[in-house]
Amino acid sequence: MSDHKLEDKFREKMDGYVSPIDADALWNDMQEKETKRFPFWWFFLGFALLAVGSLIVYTQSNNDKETKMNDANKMSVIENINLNNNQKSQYLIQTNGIDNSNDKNVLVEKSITKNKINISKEIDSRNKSNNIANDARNNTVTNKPKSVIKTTKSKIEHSNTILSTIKLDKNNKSSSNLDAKSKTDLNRSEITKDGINLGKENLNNEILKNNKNEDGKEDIVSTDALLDAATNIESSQINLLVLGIEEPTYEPEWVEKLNAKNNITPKTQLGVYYSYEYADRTLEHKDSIDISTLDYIEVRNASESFVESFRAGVFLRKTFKKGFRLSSGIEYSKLTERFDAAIDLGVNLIEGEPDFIEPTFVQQTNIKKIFNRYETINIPITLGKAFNSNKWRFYIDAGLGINLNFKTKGQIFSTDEEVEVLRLANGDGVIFKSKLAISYLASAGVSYYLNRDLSIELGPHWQSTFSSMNSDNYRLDTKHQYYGIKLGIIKTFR
Amino acid sequence: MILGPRIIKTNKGKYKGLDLNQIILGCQNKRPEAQKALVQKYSGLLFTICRRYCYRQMDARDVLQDAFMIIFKNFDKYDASKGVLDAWIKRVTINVALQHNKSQKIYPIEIDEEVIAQSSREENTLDSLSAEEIISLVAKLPTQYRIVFNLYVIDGYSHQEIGEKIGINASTSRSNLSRAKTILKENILENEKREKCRTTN
Repeated sequence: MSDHKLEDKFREKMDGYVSPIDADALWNDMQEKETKRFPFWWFFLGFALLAVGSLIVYTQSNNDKETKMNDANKMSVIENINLNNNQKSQYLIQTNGIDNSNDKNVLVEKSITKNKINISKEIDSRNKSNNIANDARNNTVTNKPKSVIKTTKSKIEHSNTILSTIKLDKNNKSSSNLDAKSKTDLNRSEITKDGINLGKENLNNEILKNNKNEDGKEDIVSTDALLDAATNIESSQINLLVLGIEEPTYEPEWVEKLNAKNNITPKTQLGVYYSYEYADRTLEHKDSIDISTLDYIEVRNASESFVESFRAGVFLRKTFKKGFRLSSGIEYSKLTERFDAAIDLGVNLIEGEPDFIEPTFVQQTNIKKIFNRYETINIPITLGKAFNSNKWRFYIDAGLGINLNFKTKGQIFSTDEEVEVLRLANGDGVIFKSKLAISYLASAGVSYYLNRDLSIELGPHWQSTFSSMNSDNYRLDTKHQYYGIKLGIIKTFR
Repeated sequence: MILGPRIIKTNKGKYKGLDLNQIILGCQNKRPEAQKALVQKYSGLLFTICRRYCYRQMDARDVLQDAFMIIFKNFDKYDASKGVLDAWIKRVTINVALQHNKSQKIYPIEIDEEVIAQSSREENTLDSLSAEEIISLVAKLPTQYRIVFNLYVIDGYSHQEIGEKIGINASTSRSNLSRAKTILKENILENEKREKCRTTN
């Protein structure tokens, strides 16, 4: 039979032929398939929203907590001084604590009437150089100090009588966040009428430090000195009310330095980053007896030239005390694999002007470059720690990432002698059926603060991703190791 | 507001009374009733195409499902002025089947060249084969030969179009077609031998 006849016969047989199929069953299968596809995307989207949302909520709640604590620790210093000629002053000392049992705010007013405070000569020699309050006085008044000045073991003697009254203020809830230690301190301050409660100790010690004569002898304390001293007391213990004067607040330079050194200020950071990476890829077969897969691995490995990738993303980071930090965000990454396939062109005449009488033949091959590209959306979640050193900060981060391969475009080799190429269309994922992958990641580096709120980060980045090729023909596990350099710009919100 | 087609529902829950225009209108508006009607109307025809292009029958069913999904999703792109619905959905189904085949490996086939010189006995054999048997024969062809054979012989594409569609040269397409026909002839003869043995026994 001629070829044309054969073709005609086939056309004739196939013309209008309808294969038997249960259309209703097919429809039902399609409906099921549709419902199965739906939750996958929603699951992924839900997870992303949950991760980012949780971080935002957590950050917000911490900010609220911090604000409340600051309110509780507010160091209100109001002065009501009858600065008469006798230098008579009345100081009201207010504790911002609460009654443990009744959950009521307690206002403790203690009146100290005195003309002067005699300061003992017994001064710890270690505090001679401590002139912090004087530094504070010289700085611009901007904000409340938050630092804690350790007390000394100095003994304070008061020459005047201390009168105490206690008032209950049910409406004042500002101090409900006091910790247990503060409450203990409060109790101590309530029951002690001789002024040797912890808060007053701090106050007195501050006064002591600031007003000691060079020879260590007692001195008369001025109102300014008292105010300076009061602003340096840990406010959760006891606050000083000096009625009549607007609250003085300071932002001395040393406060910021101490805060930075101790890493005690939690912050929220929002950043963007870009990372360029070299990727090392390994293929492992799932079925060792599958010869075709082994062949494929061999061809693939032999021809693979270079694998590179980049990733860019945005993240939200919460930093905690002592430099610990938690980050999450969303990033886009693109992986490009290059293959150099040697295609045998056979034995040919040499190029140029071939000699047809005595020709020279050479074996010719053509190197064909093939690129495969995988585009992925990732959700990295990392935990890390930063080490401060003024404007420079060293950091390490490590965590997990969830990767969704949403677009694949490229070609793969068959194992034919002719090295034919099978093409993959966009996003169909015909071969690479495993679209979700888990990755481990780690990065380290250095960040530099351009100003108080803006910093840049630069450092090496490592990531390991595992995914599977579950196609019938290529049952492979694929692992990518990414080694890159990551650059980020971070905005800090305080 | 665009209304979907009027649906006449029988007691058995099957939809009747939808003509082609109503099906098109309903599918363009994502109406499940119309989509189901489309499946009922065209599933047999499209399944034949899928079977011709797929080596395994279970793959053919998957490809058919995917084809319908893509047809439903892209129905708004169907332009009735450019061609009839049958041709459009056939073309989409062929494309989906081709896409499926791109993931299949190509194995080199050893061809018995003597077959080419065989007599024309296969002509009578071919006449006696049913459409199902023909589909089975075509499906057994190696992937690339099967694709070229189907596209050229049954679906009427030129070698140039085939080359553009699957990324090969027109000459390669011709070569593949020739080899496909050789293999088919060989298989037809083998079928005949088997039939003879069965008859003799």
